[in-house]
Amino acid sequence: MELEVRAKLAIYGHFAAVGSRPSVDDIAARVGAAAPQVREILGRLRAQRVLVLEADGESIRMAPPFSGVPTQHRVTSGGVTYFANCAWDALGIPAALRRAATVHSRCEQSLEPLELAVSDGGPESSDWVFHCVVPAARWWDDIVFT
Amino acid sequence: MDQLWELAREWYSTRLQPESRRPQPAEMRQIFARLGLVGDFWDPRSDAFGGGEGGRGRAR
Repeated sequence: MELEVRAKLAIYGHFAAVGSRPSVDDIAARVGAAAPQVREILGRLRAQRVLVLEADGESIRMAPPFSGVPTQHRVTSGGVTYFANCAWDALGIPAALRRAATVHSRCEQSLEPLELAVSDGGPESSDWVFHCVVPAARWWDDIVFT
Repeated sequence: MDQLWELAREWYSTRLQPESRRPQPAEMRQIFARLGLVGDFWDPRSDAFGGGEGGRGRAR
């Protein structure tokens, strides 16, 4: 398997296993590559919009649906705590993991905390509404804001 | 929320698999259309908001 694909799987595998972002050294150790090679691959994955990196060019801010930094959208599953980039990604985490999870978030109108159980078949019944502010054509103008 | 769950599944259910890749604009439109999300707002190539694939904005 191509090194870039193995690196991508290593990144996603790390997020799935422990809920936090891997470092360049973590990825390098997992795929048996040198750190400069991994940095180059991170840049390519960023160009493909598979990842969003911090300003340092190597810390993973987003590997959607996972967030590399704490957010208001926390997801717990299998004893692991994850952070999602948005409400959509909060459901994306159990979808990617293919296992049940609980989403802990908040209502953006009332700021009340929300908790939602998600099974293999989807979220429990609720009257919540997902509000997407930015049109699709502009998402990547500022993906962190989106 | 059911619609959002279907969107999340379409987008992310294979994300941990080797063959996974981000949907391209045409695929995005198909996914959105299947879920009833149509119109300029959900068109990744729309220039109705001063962006779009042909302008400054680009697809997710």
